[in-house]
Amino acid sequence: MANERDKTEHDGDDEASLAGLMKLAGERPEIPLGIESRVYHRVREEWRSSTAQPGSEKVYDEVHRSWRRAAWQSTIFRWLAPGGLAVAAVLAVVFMYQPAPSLAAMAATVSRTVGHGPAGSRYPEGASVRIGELVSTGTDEGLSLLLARSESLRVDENTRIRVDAADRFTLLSGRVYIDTGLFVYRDGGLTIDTAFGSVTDVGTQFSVAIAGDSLDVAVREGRVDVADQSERYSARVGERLMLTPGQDVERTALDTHDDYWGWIAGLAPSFDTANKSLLDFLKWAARETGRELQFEGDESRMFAMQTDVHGSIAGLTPDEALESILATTSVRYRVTADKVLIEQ
Amino acid sequence: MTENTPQVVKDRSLAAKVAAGDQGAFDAFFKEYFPRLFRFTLTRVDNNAELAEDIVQRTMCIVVRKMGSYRGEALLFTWLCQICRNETNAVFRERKLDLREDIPIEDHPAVQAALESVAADDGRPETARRREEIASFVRVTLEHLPTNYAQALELKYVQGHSVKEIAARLCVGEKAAESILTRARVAFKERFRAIWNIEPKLIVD
Repeated sequence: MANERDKTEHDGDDEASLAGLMKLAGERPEIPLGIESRVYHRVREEWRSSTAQPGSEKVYDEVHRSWRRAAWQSTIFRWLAPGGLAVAAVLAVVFMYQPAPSLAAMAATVSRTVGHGPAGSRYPEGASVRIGELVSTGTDEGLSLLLARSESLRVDENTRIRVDAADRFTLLSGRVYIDTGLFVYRDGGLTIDTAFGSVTDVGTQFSVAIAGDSLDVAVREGRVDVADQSERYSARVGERLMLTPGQDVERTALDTHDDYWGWIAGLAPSFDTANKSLLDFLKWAARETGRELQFEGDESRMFAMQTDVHGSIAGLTPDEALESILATTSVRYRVTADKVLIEQ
Repeated sequence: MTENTPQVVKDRSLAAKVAAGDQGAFDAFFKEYFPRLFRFTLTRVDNNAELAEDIVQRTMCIVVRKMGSYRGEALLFTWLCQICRNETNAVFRERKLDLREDIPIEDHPAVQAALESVAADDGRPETARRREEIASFVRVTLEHLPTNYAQALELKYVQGHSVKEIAARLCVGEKAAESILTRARVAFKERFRAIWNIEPKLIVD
């Protein structure tokens, strides 16, 4: 008992000492965001120049090796689980001189579905899509696929697309949107073949649609190369190309935030807020909505970098998520048709 | 020689990622260490923000260049502080400034005496100055703690928040906030003892 009392008194003393010291010290000084922002930019420049980035080919080779390793391990584990049963089955097949079943490589994972038609039940979220598969959607349906290299492929309603390879698809009808993002480990573009020509990205956001007898290509960011049987064209950000056999190519302007892009919002992969800053979120939201992200000053940018995002925004469109998240922060902002402006 | 404490393991992992060019890791590194290093430096340059900015920038530029060589022999913040001390001296030499004799640095020979002389608030200027020095010691100690520990202690003892309010501010549950506070108290006392070679309670008794 005496020991317990001593301990309690000792703890009480410690607590009082600590409280006294902390009160004496008072609040630590706030650091002006201007200083923090300046130092951040200078140190980041230094860091960037000092961080030796291997050539993209080398990086890609390494990533490829790790993919192959991962694929091999995954295959082993996948087949170890059924254990003896699988081995017995394979042996039985061998003994019966029947051809072994071929397992096509996985090309994508379903990350989101819209609508309640057959596509939703055929491709539940998390399902794998394999090379050789024909993916189709009905009226009021949509699918969002996460490709092997982190690209996003969104399939509009009434669309049929065949998966020819991890980076090659054939659009048979309907419309798709591709965001190949800023992923660095890529050694080539993603190609969408159609009966009217092929479209290859150069790091971008774009859509490809078959509209009657025409190929309709719209670019929201970056550039795509389009080739039909006789000609090659390039389409850049804000451009829309219409290729109709036997006619001159038709080139028109299309804003990055035009309603034309509205259908992809419902298929945007959810933004995972865990360990993400407000800046990460704003970049994602701006990219998804085709708006330009602007900060009135370095201080507001730094504030966004330092503010963590909390709460789930699963199920919200990028516009809804933008309003929802910004409303919970103390930042002053304006969202216009073409801009997300974070004020001081 | 620092053991493989969870903090050292985290530091090593963070340093490796920064050295490998991971932007997210760089941001995390900056977010965690810039405020602590800046306040650490302020106490050594008589609260001259412009000078502190220069020194911290130089320090962090050196650190990001050397990040690949960090092996976890000391905590990352201890390593930063060591480089920061060298840069402080270099900047003072370059600008032909005199390092204040009474800068409250941890290797100050009169630290202990200063700590012991502030028990009474007798209104004398030298006592007030000593109290400010003690305040600096506390702030420096706080900078040696993980950010959420320092924040929890400040919220509790300086701003007088309840555990529930602290939990809300730290975005954790109440139990987690209590646990953070408990660990923060222990860590504070240990760091204070380690840096200043004196029991915290001796100062305010």
